[in-house]
Amino acid sequence: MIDRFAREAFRRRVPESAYLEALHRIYHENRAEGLSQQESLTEVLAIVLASPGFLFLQEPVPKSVASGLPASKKEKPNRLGNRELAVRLAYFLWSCPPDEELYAADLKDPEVLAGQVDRMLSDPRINRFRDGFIRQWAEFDKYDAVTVDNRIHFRFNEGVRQDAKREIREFFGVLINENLPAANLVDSEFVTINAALATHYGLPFPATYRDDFKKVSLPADSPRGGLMTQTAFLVAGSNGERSSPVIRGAMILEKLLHDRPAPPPPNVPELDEASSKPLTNRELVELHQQRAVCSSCHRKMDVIGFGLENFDTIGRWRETEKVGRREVAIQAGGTLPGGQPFLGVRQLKQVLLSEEDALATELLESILNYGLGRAVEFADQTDVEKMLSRLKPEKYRIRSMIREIAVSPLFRRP
Amino acid sequence: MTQMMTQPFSRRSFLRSGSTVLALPLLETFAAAETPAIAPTRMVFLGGGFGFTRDSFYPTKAGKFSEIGLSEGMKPLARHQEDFTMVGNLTNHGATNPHGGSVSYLTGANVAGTPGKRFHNSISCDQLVAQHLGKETRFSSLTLSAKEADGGSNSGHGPGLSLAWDASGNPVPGINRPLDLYFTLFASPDDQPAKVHARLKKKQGILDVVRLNGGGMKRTLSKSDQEKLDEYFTGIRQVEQGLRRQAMWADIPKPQAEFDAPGEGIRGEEAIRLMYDMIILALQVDATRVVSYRLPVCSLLSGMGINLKAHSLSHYGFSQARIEASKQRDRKCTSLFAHFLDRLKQSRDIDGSRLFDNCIVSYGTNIRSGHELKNVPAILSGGGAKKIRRGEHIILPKQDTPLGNLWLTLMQQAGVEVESFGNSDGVLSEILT
Repeated sequence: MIDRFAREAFRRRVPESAYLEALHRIYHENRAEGLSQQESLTEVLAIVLASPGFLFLQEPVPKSVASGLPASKKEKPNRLGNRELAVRLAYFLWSCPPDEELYAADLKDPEVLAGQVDRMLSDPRINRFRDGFIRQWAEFDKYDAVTVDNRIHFRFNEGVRQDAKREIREFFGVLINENLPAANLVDSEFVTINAALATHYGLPFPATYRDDFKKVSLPADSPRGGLMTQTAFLVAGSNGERSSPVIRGAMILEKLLHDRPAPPPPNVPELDEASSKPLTNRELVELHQQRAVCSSCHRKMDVIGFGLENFDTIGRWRETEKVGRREVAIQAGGTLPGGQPFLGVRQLKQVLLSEEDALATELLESILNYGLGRAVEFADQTDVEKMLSRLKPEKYRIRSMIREIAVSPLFRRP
Repeated sequence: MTQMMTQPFSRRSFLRSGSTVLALPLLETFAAAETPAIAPTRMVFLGGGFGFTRDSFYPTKAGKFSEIGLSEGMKPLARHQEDFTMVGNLTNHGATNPHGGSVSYLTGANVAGTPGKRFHNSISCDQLVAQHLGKETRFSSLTLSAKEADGGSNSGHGPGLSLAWDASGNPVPGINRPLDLYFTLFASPDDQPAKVHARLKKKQGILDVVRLNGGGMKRTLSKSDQEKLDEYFTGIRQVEQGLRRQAMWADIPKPQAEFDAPGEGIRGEEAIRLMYDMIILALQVDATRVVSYRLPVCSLLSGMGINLKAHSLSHYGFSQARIEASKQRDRKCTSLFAHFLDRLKQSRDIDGSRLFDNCIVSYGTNIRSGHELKNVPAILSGGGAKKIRRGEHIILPKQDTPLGNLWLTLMQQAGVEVESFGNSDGVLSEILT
């Protein structure tokens, strides 16, 4: 029992015999001291779960690499062993140890490898990749940190708050399962919502008493679709009271254009109501651009963010905003630093769609980062470019992208 | 009730905290190790996460508080105005995370800008001080913290487990609940020497087993993976050092607490009060001479009825309601700090002097206000640093004077022989008499 548990916990690497003997010794000592069988065993299993063999995913390298000596002819320093690759794949796509079939598969054979990856992508456990990846990439912790003032935004209750996170997960799940092009993150002809979110968005939804999510086609003139018009994205791009074109713009730059803005310099004071008369959100934000230190970055971020000003703090559509006691019409347009003018969210999406390659790079590198557990580095660029060029003709489909990464030589490298 | 604070306190005075009344135990029962004839110097570092309200907390003028007056946010410290110092123009160079006020607060490391490293940190000054002042006590230092439901960044502390970082720059875990600190400090039925020795032996045995597993693994790993595994082994070695220290002290009984253990779910203000009170007990019985405490922020706010998370509150600029809430938080923080100073003044040290007179207390964070990382709040108190001027706001002549200079100055005042620390480039002669 102890031996089997340790072997499974170590993902089928057989532990050192001295280690196993020591575990048995502790078990028997515990029993001799009068502990029950269950208590004695619990402690031993806890030791296994605190051991490096369980805590770390071990990927042994050939002796030559570990010792820095030249490789002998038999060794293949650029390839993980079968077991290690199986473990890496399983944690990438399923967030758990491999199953029997994956352990047994001969992954050196490219066809077998591809077959296993396809099987894993079709298995329900792929949802663990969906949830694990999207939670980090879409930075749910930032969303969770926004306190929305419920007295003003009473519609944004705890149910909507949770549903909004689920919307992002479900949406990304559709992109994986239906193998849709990456550009759907900029704009899609559908949304993935439940009844509560349909009400929130003012969209038709079949009558139901359940909170299931459904893929719903959008009317042709709808501003929705894509990632940046989803509630969780828009709320994360607010301070809980006002929408923040700055944060929204920065998020679009980073997530959809692969162009992460530099962090603000250390001496930036809070933007406050410097003027005594009430200002529109846009006027307030434009104050940033008056200071030279701020304007270099903010010129770019803020303009993009203005494109989403028709969405209020909690992500609902609006034509006007309240300034003091007046209702002022939203101006959701501007001219991007490249000189392209746009008006409103639909035109902004058109501009972003022309940057599909940047979006694909961001996604591929992020998924690779997730799968390898390390940042993508300069040395990986050739492989990254190869993968991107293979995915481009089919418009960077998401499931294909995950598959491409999983079967790539880069993924096999220690 | 405030009168109770100012009355001369006997050794068996009562500590009040929330609804609990804590009896301060007789010192004699603590006479554990050899007690030095002269009270030793102690250091306490308090870290607050996000900073304070820009326009209402910081004094604008330099000078004696008795002349320039106290700012709105510091009003609760009025009864201590002759006994604390505020230092302006300090900046923690290398701190770039506007949500991470505590990450390098006590270390002065270049967290994000160290070549070849995604994240870098170095030893915090409380741990460095502990190597010198913590040799003769049961605990070389106490590192207190609080588990915030919303994580480090949302409370303004950033990554890390407490204010403390060890010699390799790894986070030192904190004692998160008053209850845990209680059982760390005071005797429990499980402390009988025979039991303790048996437990320690068993723990050592377990570490040996775990090490057996790691040893074989190491030979087959690449260099970077080996480094990762080394971190694990360093952790094991630290646990072992802790076990050895515990074994050394196992035969010396811990003091008996004369009050019941605090409840499990105590959070926010009440937790801070209890922690403050128990810090004082720990110092008084010489269980340790160095304490750092990463204060809870989110739970303090929710306990005050402020329905905002700490990060949301730190963006207060645009909303009058939030500015008010932020000011309210400032006052709460300073009144809790004032309570801590009260207790320090009321408590007698082993030589009969006030505990206050032998402590060096620092309170601050890397963040001034909102997300500004320059000119950070730095409040000092206690009489342990004999040469530090008190009762005034001192504005240093040079903007962005490294925060490391403050730590260097304090450490030297505590008798620790260090020539430089973190980002320091000299001693703050301006704050010395």
